[in-house]
Amino acid sequence: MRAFAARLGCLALGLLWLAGCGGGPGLIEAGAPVVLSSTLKLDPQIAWSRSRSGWIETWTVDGDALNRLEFVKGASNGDALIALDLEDRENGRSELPVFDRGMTGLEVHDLYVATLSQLGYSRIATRDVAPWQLGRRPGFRFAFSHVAEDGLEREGLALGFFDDGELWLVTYTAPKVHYFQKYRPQVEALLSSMTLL
Amino acid sequence: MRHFFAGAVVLALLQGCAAETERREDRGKPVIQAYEDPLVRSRLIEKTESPDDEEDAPTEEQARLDSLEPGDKPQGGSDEDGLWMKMARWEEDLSTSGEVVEDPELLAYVRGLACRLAGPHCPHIRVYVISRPGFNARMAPNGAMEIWTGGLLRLRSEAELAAMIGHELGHYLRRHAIQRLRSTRTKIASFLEGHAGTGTARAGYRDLLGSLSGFSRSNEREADGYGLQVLAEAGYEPKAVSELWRRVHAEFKTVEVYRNRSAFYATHPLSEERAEILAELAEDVRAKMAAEPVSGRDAYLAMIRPRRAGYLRDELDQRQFEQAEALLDGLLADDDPNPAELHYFKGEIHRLRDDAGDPRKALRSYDTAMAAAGEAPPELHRSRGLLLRRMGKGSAAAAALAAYLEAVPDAPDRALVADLIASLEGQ
Amino acid sequence: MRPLAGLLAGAVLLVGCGSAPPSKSMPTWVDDLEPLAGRKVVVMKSDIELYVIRSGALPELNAGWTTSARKGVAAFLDRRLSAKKITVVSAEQVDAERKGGPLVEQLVRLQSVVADSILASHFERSDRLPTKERRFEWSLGSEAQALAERYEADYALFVAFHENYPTEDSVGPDSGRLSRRFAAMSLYRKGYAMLVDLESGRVVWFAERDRWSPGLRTPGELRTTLDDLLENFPG
Repeated sequence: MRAFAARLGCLALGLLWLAGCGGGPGLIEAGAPVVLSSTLKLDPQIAWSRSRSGWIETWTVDGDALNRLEFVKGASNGDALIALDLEDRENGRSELPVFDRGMTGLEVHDLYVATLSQLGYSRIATRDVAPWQLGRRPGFRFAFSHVAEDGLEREGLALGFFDDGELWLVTYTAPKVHYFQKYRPQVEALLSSMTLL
Repeated sequence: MRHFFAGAVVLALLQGCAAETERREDRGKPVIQAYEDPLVRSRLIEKTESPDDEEDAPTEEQARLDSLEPGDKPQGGSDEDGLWMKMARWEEDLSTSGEVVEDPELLAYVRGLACRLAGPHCPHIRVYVISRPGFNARMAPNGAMEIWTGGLLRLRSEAELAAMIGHELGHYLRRHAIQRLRSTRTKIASFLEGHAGTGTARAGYRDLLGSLSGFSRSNEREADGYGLQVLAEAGYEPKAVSELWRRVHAEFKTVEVYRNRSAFYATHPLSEERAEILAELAEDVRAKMAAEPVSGRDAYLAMIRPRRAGYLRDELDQRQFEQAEALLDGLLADDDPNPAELHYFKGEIHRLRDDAGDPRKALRSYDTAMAAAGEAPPELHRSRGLLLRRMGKGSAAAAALAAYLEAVPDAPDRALVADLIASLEGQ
Repeated sequence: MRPLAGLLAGAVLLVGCGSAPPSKSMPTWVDDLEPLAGRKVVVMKSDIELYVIRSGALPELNAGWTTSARKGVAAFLDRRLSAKKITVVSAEQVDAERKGGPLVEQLVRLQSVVADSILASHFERSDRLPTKERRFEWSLGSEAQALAERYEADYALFVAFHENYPTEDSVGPDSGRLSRRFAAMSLYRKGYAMLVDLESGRVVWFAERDRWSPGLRTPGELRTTLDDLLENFPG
């Protein structure tokens, strides 16, 4: 039974403590192979803007909210699956559920859903949860959909595999209207170009 | 990347001032008079006032602010008008967001009750049920009310739902948002004046802003009074108010800092003392009731129990295990007809937390669930299978996972489960 | 310009993030932009909120300013477009008669997200996307045809303004970083106009509010600000 006012103090605070400056995103050129963490090689067919934050990096063409490829590059015990932005942290969302090395694909799937739920996404649904593998590394894939706080319905797909107990997870998320389909062929080509070094 | 407007937009909610409301000709008799009831008012103040409440006491200006009459709208162009305009925009967004529950039966039930409680204010309020974990309900100054499914999960009767709605109506009718925002403005201004030329201490300013979230204790007392009164007027059991607070306190005190979606507890530091005072007041109000009060427990639980598995899943996704355990223990202690479901979720807590001793506890909970009355979600077999695998019991794990696929033939994760079964059997 | 605003402007420039400067050279419209004379343009419900900042950095929505700005902008656009022989459809009138479906509602939300991304990519100093530096290429997709059908229009014009105005005597915190941030908040003025071809869904023209435009609080200010905003408007 808290009032609207309740949340506002923190947000006022949030605005006053707005983020400082960081380096802007870098460019990934079309046709130039990319290697992530000396482990995963990809052949992008189109150019992407790339941002990195710890064990997670994000690629986008039109902006994070419009198309977003997220790479979890070898999560280990205690690592979350999504990089929190400042606004999330200001809202106290600092304690995301985390990965541990004993997890199966099913448990990572559940962990991803719980992460989205905790970040405030609604109508989270997954389908086509199936085995997948990269080379000889066992893995899994699934499709998902949800509604974010901006009210936009989004679609997504996820591919994951385990490398020496560490989790690699690649997700692609985009609004259902126009954007998910827009680069879907290029994303699928990119994902099938993935090879282990 | 977030909306670039977001910061400014939400900030603007923190506003309001003592604009006089414009009166409509057709004002009806306000149904909610609790705070005007001298008995309730004086006892609330006398019983809950403590020395550190001083700065919280309603100022004369605030006390003079009239209650909202049915159909009242703020004076055009006033600050209160700005607040309503802001909230109208918020409500427009909310009503088409992914979080609104579109369950006609549930909505009819909740809205029907809210309407009865609001009386002549009914045409001017709008109630939304929001799919969100955490114990919360809130009301915007323009008459839009949110009730979270996490709130519905924790209530046990129509009387308790009435208490929650009544409390929110109290905030709305007493125009607490405006009061609050106005005093916020004053406090910040005087803080800045006091520090002029000396260099504003950053930590001090941040603490000040932090301290300004939520309603004041006097606002909460007032809303409590309204909640109690409106409940009694509708014929519900007044003790529901204190029972609800006591139970919620018991759940939330398990969590040192309950953050995230449930800032409620942080902004409503509820003392057991306040629950006791409310219990006493409830007795007083009850004694004055003409007819025997009703709890509406059966009707409420018949509505919520078939829906609660989803609400419980949302709670678990928050990974606030101690608090979720207290919640489930509370439900189990309440003569629940479906303990199987509750034991399943207790098992989930232990499986997901996975501290020392948790796997065994999880297994025990799942086994209890299978033997208990009622029906656990078929995902129980899936969870049990994953747990057994972790415990190194491959063939038992495979059997449990197979039971899951048998129970849910069109499971969305069928292929991956089947793959796991195959690898367990191959070991 | 008032002295206070000038002071604040200076402070804000100092806090800027100093990566690449805005690429003023790059036009924010498509190469094959056609004149709009004779076409139908639906003016979507404007997203306008004007805030007053009193002491202490709490923006409060000012209902009076906001209401008159919403009306003033609608009237201005109607006049301005009609004068260019463009047929104007008011989305608000259509919306009042019947509610749009879920797709229309999603398109409106998408538009706002696309606008944010355009602003970040072409107008902000930091976090600009290298993928968007070479060409102005944005879209709502062919789904935008749902708007064409609903409003019987060839193009949709979206206009948004969210602005903060400090009062003359507003006082902020009195220490370096806090006061710079107070200044930044006091100067927060964002606005844009975006034109979408409803056949293809392409964003064919976009303009950000000129940071030196006076704002929308009075009819005179509003005229100047919108004249600036629509300076390069096709047709």
